[in-house]
Amino acid sequence: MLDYSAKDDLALIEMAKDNDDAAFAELVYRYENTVSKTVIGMLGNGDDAKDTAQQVFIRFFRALKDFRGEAALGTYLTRIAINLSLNELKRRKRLSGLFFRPSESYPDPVIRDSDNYENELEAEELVHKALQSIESKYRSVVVLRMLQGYSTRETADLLGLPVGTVLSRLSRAQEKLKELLKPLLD
Amino acid sequence: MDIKLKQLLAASFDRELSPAEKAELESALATSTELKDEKLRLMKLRRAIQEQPYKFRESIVGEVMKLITKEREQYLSKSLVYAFNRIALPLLAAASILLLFWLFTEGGLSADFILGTKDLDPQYLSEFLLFNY
Repeated sequence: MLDYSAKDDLALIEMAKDNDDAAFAELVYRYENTVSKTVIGMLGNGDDAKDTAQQVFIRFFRALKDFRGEAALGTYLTRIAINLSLNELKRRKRLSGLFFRPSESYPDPVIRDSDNYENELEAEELVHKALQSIESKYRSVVVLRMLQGYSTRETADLLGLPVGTVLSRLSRAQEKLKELLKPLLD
Repeated sequence: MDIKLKQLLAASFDRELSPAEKAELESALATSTELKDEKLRLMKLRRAIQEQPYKFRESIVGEVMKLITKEREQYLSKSLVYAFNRIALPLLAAASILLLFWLFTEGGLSADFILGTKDLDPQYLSEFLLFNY
């Protein structure tokens, strides 16, 4: 029996191009954490994020025949994930504009005293809420730079922005997050 | 705290500082407790963001593979429709034109006409059919 986990990405891609579903499943298994990190960071851990993560792999499946391996697969999938997440945020914004008044759409996270954040789950919730409350243009640089660990140059390339813009967005995002996560930091 | 030093400190996490900037920041960090605390806060912030789990409760592999099977089925049915449109429809059109042509040139679509026995004397019909078919 074939050991798919021992194969490298390009070998699995070639097998998947020949309709080997097990090879494609191995690629999904290998990169689901990379993709979920991006979409959950951008959209929060909900059904929309899950659908978006699935769509990332469906897009990859559709483009499989054209994939030449010029970029690392992780970077390629992250690019799709960030673009689909930004589209999803635009869709949400359109919907919230249709059904809610702006003041009701995204409330700021409730800040409490630091003693209350001993519980890891609460800290997790606070970080997720803080990420969701910053503007998407700041969130995307935070997700790529701080969560995924891409360099500033790579982040700029992935988002199609100048390095200077990424640096200024990171700085502003950091200020906002410092404020929102004060109980965790002091 | 000096705003410029604070900005320099924040930038030091995301870009390579020039030797002059590096020296300026290092000497400030050696003397300012406030700046040192700020550095610790920024490190904590990045760690807090990095260390959270960004995972779905269950793996998405199964669901993705189900969607791919569905995608393939849809592709197959689309291909069948495409093939029908490209092959079967032109054949049908050609057959219809041929029938219409027969209809107008021969004046009808009787069994005699289709079998080519229109002008045959009925007494030779059985021999004709036996010989030709």
